[in-house]
Amino acid sequence: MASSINGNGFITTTVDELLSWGRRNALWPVTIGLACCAIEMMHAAASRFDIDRLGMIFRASPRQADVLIVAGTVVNKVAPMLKLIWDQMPEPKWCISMGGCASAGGPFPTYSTLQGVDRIIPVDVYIPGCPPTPQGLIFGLLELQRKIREKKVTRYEKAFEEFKKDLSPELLSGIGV
Amino acid sequence: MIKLKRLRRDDSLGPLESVLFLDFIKGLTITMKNLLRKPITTQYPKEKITPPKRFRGKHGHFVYDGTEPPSLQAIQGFMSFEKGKSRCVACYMCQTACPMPTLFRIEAVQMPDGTKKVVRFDMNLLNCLFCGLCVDACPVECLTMSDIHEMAVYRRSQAVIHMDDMEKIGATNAKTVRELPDRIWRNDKERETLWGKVKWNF
Repeated sequence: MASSINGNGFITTTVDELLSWGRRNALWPVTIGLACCAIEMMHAAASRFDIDRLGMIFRASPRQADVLIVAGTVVNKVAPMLKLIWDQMPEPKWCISMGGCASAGGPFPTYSTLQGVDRIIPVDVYIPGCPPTPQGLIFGLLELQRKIREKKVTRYEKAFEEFKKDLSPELLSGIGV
Repeated sequence: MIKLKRLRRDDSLGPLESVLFLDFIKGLTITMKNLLRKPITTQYPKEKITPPKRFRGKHGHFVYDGTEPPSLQAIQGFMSFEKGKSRCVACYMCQTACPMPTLFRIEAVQMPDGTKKVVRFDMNLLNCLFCGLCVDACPVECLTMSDIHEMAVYRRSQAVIHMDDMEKIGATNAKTVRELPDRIWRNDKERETLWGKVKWNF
């Protein structure tokens, strides 16, 4: 905080802080569940682990949402629809890959399953687990809040550049990015 | 022949009930009860629900500290173990039992004195199903599972856990889980009335 005041000037920093505060405390996820991880996602939204406490309310429309929680197996048939939902969300937007299936294909190393949702969508937080417990999911959401607080808001292109640093050079040349 | 009794809707409400709205009061009693009850919500980051004893979470390695089973004592002369380090013997049984072919990455080398040393034991948790088959397959009681379920990471590479992480978990979380009594039931007395005395052995 102190270094950013010196670097950027007081007003810009304060507005940035304010926007970041507002964004991280009102993360609205899209209501989309693809497999059994969605059951744990519903459990996190229900009264035992009420994520409304953290300002996270499930929205039925991607136009009103900030976070895409990919909960479940992404098969090749549903991948274009998921990409469409992601494109319909207004910026700034974040993506959480919940569970093994969404993160790395899980137990389905097959022709019909997308081996990781990060092949079509840049992912901010990966949550291992099969499925993760509701507490694990809420921890992931808190980690996302921490990421927003520390990194501020990045545009889609910048986020993709950051994401590409994590990929291996062979993979990058393979997909032609 | 069975006689069917016909019920009319008008007959169900008596004169007293229709005047005093007894049904409404009955319903509102339940509402009031729930209004005055303590909320069941767990305030997650402040208070956490402890998983039961047999919860399958992040993996750990039990270390070489003198509590080895007889299966390991028989062959420990052929291994180059260190005190406080993993007691893995690189038998690849966990990898064989695992339903995912790419989850484990185990490497071992032969030391100059002829003993075997495990130099690498990586697990990609993003592929893991947490089924526990690897723990059951381990013949030397090395691989174990702790109660850690908060595993969110920012990058794929951070989801791969290495041998030193697993040694740390085996010395802390997995050890406490092993020593604690069964926590599925709220107290042991309640469990013993139902199931009798159960002895947990790993």
